[in-house]
Amino acid sequence: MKHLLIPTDFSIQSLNAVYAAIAKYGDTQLKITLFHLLAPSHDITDILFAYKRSRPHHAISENFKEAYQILQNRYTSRIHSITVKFGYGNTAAYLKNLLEGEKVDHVIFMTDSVLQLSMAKSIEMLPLFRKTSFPLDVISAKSKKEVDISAISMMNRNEIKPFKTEKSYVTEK
Amino acid sequence: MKIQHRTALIFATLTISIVLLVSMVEYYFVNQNTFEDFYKRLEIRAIIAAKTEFEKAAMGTSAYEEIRKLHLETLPNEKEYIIPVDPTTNQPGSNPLKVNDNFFKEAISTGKARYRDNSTFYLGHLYGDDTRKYIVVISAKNEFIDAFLYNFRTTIIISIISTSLVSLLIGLWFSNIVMKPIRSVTQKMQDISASQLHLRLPTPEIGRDEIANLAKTFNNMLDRLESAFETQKNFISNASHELNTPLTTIIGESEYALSKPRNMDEYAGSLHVILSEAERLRKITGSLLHLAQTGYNGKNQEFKQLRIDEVLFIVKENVDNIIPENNVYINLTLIPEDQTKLLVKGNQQLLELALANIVLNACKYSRNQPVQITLAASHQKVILIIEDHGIGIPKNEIAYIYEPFFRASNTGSFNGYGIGLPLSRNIIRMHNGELEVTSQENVGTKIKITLPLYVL
Repeated sequence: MKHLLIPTDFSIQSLNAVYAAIAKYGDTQLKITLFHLLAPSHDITDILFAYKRSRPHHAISENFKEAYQILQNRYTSRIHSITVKFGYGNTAAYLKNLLEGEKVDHVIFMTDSVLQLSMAKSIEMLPLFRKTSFPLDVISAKSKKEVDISAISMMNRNEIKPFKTEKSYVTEK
Repeated sequence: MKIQHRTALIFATLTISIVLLVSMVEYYFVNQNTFEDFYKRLEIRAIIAAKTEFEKAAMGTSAYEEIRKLHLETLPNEKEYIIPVDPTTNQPGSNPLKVNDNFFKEAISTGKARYRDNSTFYLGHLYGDDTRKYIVVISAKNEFIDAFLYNFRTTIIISIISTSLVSLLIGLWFSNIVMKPIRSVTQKMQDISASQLHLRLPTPEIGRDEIANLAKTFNNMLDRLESAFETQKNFISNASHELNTPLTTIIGESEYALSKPRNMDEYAGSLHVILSEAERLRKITGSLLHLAQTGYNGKNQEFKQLRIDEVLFIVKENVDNIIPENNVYINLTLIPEDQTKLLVKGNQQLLELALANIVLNACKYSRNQPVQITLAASHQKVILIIEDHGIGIPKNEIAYIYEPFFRASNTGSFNGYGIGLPLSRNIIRMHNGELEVTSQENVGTKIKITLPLYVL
């Protein structure tokens, strides 16, 4: 079983990476973690009352939950589990630790979709992941489009209100 | 009496009775304690008086007198009696006091006795050796205790009265808060009359309390009522319209056959057409009858385990029968691998009716452009998306599409009654599902139906 970490901005489009992952690694069972990075809190109350960390989970839209559950049901035989995980840190060292601790095999980014900073404390994930020197899987969305998940979604891209847009890594180069 | 007032009253009575009980217990014990205190004071005086009287020789009077003057204030009406006890009869020699005999008997046998006459207190103290005994009696009026108890009583009465007022007010406020949601539900219910059955009570999304449940139950009842009303109201117009089309064909075909003598083949052809139309007619009357029978009386609704994809294929077949030139595609790319994720609990006829209504609308309003039906399942729900590329619904009219007989302003050139969608929505709601519509004028309409999964 392989453990894949897929950075997401909780848009339906970001789930295209799940397809790409299945297309590429679908011959084994996959444990997929949808990952979103948030800035760590410096507020003493936030640190003391860590239960507040469950808050961002409430901010995930029903549509998104529905969409990844649909995917999981569609590929029951290939997907062992899909879970959502939040990271709290803004250093490459933290990410590296996390990747090692979670025993992540691959990190998957899509070339053409730019991840939005969809929450107030979201952090641009791509530059940080690059710094970890962990080999990233950058897959072109155009290569293989098996199913269009947006068919099932009543949500338009515009419905996510991004706080900032993450720089596309293509232009970053 | 309103429940609100009753609650307030019960609350107030409860509080007041508790306060009353506490005050009474307090008063009793305070009263007892102050008596005890006063008797102790009298006792000290009695002992000192006895010592002064009988130990003059040993100590001299002055020492005791001095102690008495220095440390003991004179009590109001303080009096001192020394009564000798007759050693032969063991009875007091004389009784100058208005005190009953028991007082002396007790003093002689136990060495100490107490007596109270209203606010005058007596304390007897036995003193002496084997040969001579005296009873020293000190009496005094307890004015302190009178004033103290009077103050205490007033305090208690005032506090009881103020507590009653406060508890009554709090009770009213409290019951007002408790009853508020019920009142608001009642108010909203009053707005819903027979002509406005499409109105619903607002149900809070997160609410799982009793009131939210009540509102939901009311809404379910209203769904059933509304559907019953609508079916009743529209049955004739619906039926006549549905029956008219095949009848027109039959009449037309017959007139065509009878207009002049024809050969056998032509007659046979006409009869075939008439037969097929008559069969369609029978199908329609049958289904209408079924709708009326099974529909909404609540008794014959059988909810069984159904596979939603099978229902969908039957709907597709029905649509093919009604509009042969349709372009309906069923998209199964997202269908779950596990087939138990396609099971729902429902009534086959009703679900078919609801879905067929929506798919037929999609075909009709898009003039048979491609209609895509996507089927998927999340962990709790089966999801159906029906997407067309038709005329859409104007943005400012989308709020009214569930109102019976409402037809959007751009539907002028299409036949219809404005019944299909409300009916479908009611059927979906009966299955605890949801129906959502998003649309863009001249681009298309997307309808999302979710039904809860059948729990095995």
